[in-house]
Amino acid sequence: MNLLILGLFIATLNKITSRYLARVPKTLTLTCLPAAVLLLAGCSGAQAASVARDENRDAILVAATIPVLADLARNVGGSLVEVSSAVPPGVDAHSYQTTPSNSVTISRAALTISNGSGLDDFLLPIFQSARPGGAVHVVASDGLESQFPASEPVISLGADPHFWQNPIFAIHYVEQIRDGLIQADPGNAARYEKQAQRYIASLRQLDENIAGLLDQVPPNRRILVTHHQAFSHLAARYGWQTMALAPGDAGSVTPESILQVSQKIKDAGLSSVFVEPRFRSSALDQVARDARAKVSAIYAGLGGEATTYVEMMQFNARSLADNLR
Amino acid sequence: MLDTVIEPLEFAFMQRALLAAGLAGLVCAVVGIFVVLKGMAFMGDAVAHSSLAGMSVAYFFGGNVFWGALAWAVPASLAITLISRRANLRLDTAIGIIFASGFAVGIILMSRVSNYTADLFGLLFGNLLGVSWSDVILISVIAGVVLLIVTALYKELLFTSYDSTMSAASGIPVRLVEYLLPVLVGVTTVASLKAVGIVLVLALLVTPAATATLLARRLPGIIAYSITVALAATVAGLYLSFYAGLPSGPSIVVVATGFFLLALLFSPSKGVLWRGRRERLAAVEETVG
Repeated sequence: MNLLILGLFIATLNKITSRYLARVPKTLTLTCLPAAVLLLAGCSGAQAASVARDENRDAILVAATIPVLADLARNVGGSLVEVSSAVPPGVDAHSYQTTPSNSVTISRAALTISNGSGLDDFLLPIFQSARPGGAVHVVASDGLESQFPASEPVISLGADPHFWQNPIFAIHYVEQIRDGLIQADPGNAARYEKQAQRYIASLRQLDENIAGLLDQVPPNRRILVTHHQAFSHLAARYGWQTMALAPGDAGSVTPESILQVSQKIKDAGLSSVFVEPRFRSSALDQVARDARAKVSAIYAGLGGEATTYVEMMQFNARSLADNLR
Repeated sequence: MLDTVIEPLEFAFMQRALLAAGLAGLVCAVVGIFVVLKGMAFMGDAVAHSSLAGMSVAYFFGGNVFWGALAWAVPASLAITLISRRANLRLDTAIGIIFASGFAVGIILMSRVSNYTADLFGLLFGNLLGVSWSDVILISVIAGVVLLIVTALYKELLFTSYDSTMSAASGIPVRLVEYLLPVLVGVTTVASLKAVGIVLVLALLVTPAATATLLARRLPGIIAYSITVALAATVAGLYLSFYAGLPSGPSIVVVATGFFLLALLFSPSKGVLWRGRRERLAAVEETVG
């Protein structure tokens, strides 16, 4: 198949160039040749690629789309895995342009992990294009979408793909990843089971700690105002309300949403709104200034102070508790 | 050394990227020449930006984004010519209207998509490493059709690019070419969107052709240089992207721009560096003569 297309390409290329080249010096024809030679070289080498296991360390390679998934996989896989994330920490996933080295990493992975629910769909062509045939693929949020009746006044929970903001859903992610690892590397099933169990226990503890911190905020001020809606699962878990200037991710703030959010801040007497440090929002800055509220930090994904999943969740809970108390 | 050349090609995704970008570069290089000669560079840009609307409609209804873009691009390019002729406006004014309105409709639709507007950036900047074999086939079919039309109408395109009044007088269907060329530009642009995205497609269309006009005077020479620059930039850009860990589409554009700057400096007839020498020669000739 590949060979056929390459051949056709070179043939048409020759036909077209020779037609136009009839009246041009021969040297030019020669400069066109390297491209054709490279394409031919590609055919001969095409079968040699793809290694699923890192020869030096005996760890299987795992490729995740975003850093938070990579961190969960590291905790389940421990020293048995070598995990990488296509999007680096602290970078806006949606404006990130992948490079060939991302694809090379994916092409050697035994397990690939995506979030699903629309969050990282834009990376799927890259993954599908590079993934080796035998690799296992896990969609971490599979099975979570259906749990929601899509009827919430501000935003439907099902539309927010940041499920990990609820530690109980993060446990679901961990279980999905564990099953994927066992399928990709059955020889170490027992160790994955054990490591996953230990990590899940620490996530349950995390859930309790967050609940404790957030209980310090008076009930009438349990409102999380952000720029874009990435925290509805955090809010739903701990009985909070959330409100965002922009509903989706395209950043379309409308006059109506500014009015609603300003009114909410004033009515509830909120002392702070929250924004991810890497997505400074001038619209939210302005709304906060008008309502005499400050702008504090919160993380939807890894980056900055949030170097691991657990640290991110603890940071968010502390930030909410400290700034709204 | 040979390993350096072969290693990237061991990966199927690099083969597809090379083919897709090479085909897009090839057809852009040929169509781009008429674009540059007729001074309608922003036609390509306008069609690319306004086809965001077609993509969004396709995305909205779960269709193939590529066909959405194509279905939008052809009427959009016809509309530009029609508006400029009927309303007696300059072409760039008509382009401004179509360009911005299509992009605006696109953004409105994208912000209405209730779930994550996932690949807006993919559309804007291309997704060369995610190209599938069916994409490669699609691009080659479109490239083939466009190149066939250019070959068939070579004489007509040649005459009208240099002097449309003269060619009208000598019986060439100038009107047909006037409507056809924008459509070719539109289709070419859409074929290249997969490779470099809406924002960078203009570079593929204009830069190799502009470089070629610095290096040759006659059309066959210009075409040959344009194709050479486009293919060399594709190959070199992808290798740069592979070894330096840079995004692929932008790397190709940067390399093509590098070729243009080199031509600008060193072109035998128009190079900036030789200008002083040419002027001195002319002065000497004048005094001697």
